[in-house]
Amino acid sequence: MSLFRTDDKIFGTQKCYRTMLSALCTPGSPRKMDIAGNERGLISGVPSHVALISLTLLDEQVSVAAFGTGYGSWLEEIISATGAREASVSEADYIIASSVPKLKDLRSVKQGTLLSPEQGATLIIRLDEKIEGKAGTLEIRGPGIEDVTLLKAGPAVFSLMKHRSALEFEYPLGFDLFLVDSKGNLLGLPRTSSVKTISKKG
Amino acid sequence: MGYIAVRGGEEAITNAETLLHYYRTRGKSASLSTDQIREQLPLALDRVMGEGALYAPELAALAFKQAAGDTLEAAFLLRAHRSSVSRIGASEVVDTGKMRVRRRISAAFKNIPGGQVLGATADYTHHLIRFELLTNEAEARERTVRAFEDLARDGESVPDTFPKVVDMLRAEGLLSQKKPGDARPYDITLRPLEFPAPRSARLQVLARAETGGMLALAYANMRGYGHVHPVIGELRVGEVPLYFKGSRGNGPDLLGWVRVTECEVVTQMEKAEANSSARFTLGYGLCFGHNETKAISMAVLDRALMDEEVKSPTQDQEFVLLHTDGIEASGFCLHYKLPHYVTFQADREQIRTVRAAAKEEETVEG
Amino acid sequence: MKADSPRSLLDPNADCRRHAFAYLDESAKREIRRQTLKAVAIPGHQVPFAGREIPIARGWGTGGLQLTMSLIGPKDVLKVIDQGCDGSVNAVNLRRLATMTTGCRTVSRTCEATLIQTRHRVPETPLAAGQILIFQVPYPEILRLVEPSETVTRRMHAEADYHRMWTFLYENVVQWGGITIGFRYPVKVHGRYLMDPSPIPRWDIPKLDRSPALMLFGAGREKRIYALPPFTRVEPLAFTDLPFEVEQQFGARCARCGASDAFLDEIPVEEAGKTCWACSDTDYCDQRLADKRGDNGA
Repeated sequence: MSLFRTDDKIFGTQKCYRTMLSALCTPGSPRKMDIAGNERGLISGVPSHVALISLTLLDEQVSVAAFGTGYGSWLEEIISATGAREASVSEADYIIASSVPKLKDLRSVKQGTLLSPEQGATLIIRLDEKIEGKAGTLEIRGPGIEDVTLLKAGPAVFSLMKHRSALEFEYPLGFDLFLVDSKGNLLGLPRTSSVKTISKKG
Repeated sequence: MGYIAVRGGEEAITNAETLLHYYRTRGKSASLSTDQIREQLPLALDRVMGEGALYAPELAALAFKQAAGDTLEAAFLLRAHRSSVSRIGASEVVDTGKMRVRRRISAAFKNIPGGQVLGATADYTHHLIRFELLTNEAEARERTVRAFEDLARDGESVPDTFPKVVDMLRAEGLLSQKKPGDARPYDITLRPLEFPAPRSARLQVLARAETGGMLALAYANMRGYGHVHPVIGELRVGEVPLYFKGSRGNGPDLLGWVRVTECEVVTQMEKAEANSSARFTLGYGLCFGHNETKAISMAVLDRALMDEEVKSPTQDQEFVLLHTDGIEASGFCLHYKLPHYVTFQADREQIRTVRAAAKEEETVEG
Repeated sequence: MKADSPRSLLDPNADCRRHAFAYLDESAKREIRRQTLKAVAIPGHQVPFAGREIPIARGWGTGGLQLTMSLIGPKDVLKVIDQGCDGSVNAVNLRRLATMTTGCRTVSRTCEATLIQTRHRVPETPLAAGQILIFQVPYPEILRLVEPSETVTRRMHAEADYHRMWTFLYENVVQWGGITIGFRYPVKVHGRYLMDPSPIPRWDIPKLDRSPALMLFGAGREKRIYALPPFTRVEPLAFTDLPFEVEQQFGARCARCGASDAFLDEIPVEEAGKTCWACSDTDYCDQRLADKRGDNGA
């Protein structure tokens, strides 16, 4: 009899975690999330990458919210599958979105306190369109990047970065972002990343 | 001269473990069974379970046997084992008023409703070594059993429950009314402890803390490093029922009975709030098994940590709560046996550098 | 739950007698993973975590081990060192627990490892992007040198009020002519947090600055996790007229491989008052020897 219990779910969340960690350590360089065959339909009604991320990070010790009414059904399923507590956007530890939130919505996301900056939220944004595209170039600097990383971003990511810069985080306060597209490309952006948007015509 | 690299660590570790168990088992005496340990050394196991934070008498007996009587090591074995079993949920709030009492006394009153029940205690035995335990054990056991049966035949039956003394004090208005507590107690095994810590967290830390460490701090407080003069309102030992509500929402099921020691100390008055009179304050202690030293010390420390003016370390939350966990404290103490030669080397270099600089200065000045 | 007669935990078929993969159950791993991601987002800041007891005593590397267990997957390659040495009894013990509960491959060659758990040393061999170095940390709080209370040190970090550390260093200089901190040398991370690099010697401090690898720090007993993402600025505290210096080692060389560019252990030998020197990093020493003998197919 094997000395330890194993099952696929354990390895699925472990791989997802390593991909997320890698993404956060290389801001602006998308990582590829692996979804093995048996991971489709992890949480019914929720896109597999978002489901896997939810199962990896959420449980009854944390709270979760979603932006706007359009995202409601994902939230219900995620809460049911993970036991996470529902909270308002301004109180939630984790926020799930299925499109780029408006700037005014982003303003209400919690950024932590000086004593506990880690209480700043984590946003998980799932985009239909690909992360990379032709809307413009992003110049990203900060921890995780040797000098500068250039990312050719699609329109959704481009506009999200404009919103994020407008928030002007006062480090160590801020929130942290994960973006995932339908192909499983994962972008991580910690609050320490400084992002300059350079338009195509710029 | 040749340098011999240090190797063979794996073999050394395995041999050390073999030696450990050899010393415990090489004698001619009969091997101890876990039943024997459970039946005849229950107070050692109560301490192990209380500090290991896992109520499991069979496992505690096994751990205690494996640890050759080292209660800290046995408690550590239980604590580590606890981490590996899945957590199903939390029980219903335990009502110690429903305790099947084995012992129940109050120092605050000469007599109390239900009576002072001494139960099984060594308190009044003169603490003299009974040499007759060395020989004729079988005879002695038979005599003891018969003495008990005589007692049992002629004695009164014990009521199912006993009223709580503190309820009496509350009814007289001498104790503050119980304020509704946290809806969810702060669980230090799931969330990191932060300061100032809520009372539920403080009590949880103390409930699983090491008896000797708690005793030292409580004793210091009683002697003057603090000012808790504890009058024991009630000390009770016995089994309490543990109920659990399943996930399917059926009524709570009785899981079983857990032995605990509970101590409530009545201490100095607190300043009256506006429009109310002066009241006594309560210090609370509760631990697994029969361990009066721990329960009383816990109640004293609980009260001490309520003091707003912190004049002594025994009143300081960080000092008391961070240094009384036996597993953490002993682990760190013992870790000094690990190699520290790199840091020691770094320090030796520092001394050399300082001496070299001093010598340089001397030659310059000289 | 059926009210059967309770099954004894001593039952050899009880499920609890088989450990979870990498020992920790999923809820423990989730908590550590959440806090690690936050730690990476706030370099140098100590993130509290609850953690679990594991079959290694507190103070013996449980923080580092919990980090390793939250990271490790079946394809990882693990190296464990203590004082730079793979063969040290403590490293052997930790490695045994890791292999027992994961079945992962373990190595002593630094360049082959994906995860490296270390106590008190940074490997001499430069690390590469994608590698993760996990430090065992006894004291996560560098300000403990000047202040015993956790409540006070937390406030000092929140307000970036580090004047008492500077005062301590200044007094050091006044008394000894230089800063005499040999290990746990205070560093400033990403221009903001003062961090305890764990009891590594000064020798290893420069390796932290803008390393391509991810560095994670786990303090199990103190229940804190902190991190240095790759390419993070890490600056040892120093005065403008008294720059930071590593150990001099006064021209010593390793008796085994001849290195003078590695941190050396001083080892007393039979002749009274005599010592010899050897590389603290045993893998580095092995590689140099192999290179010398031409064993590395170079």
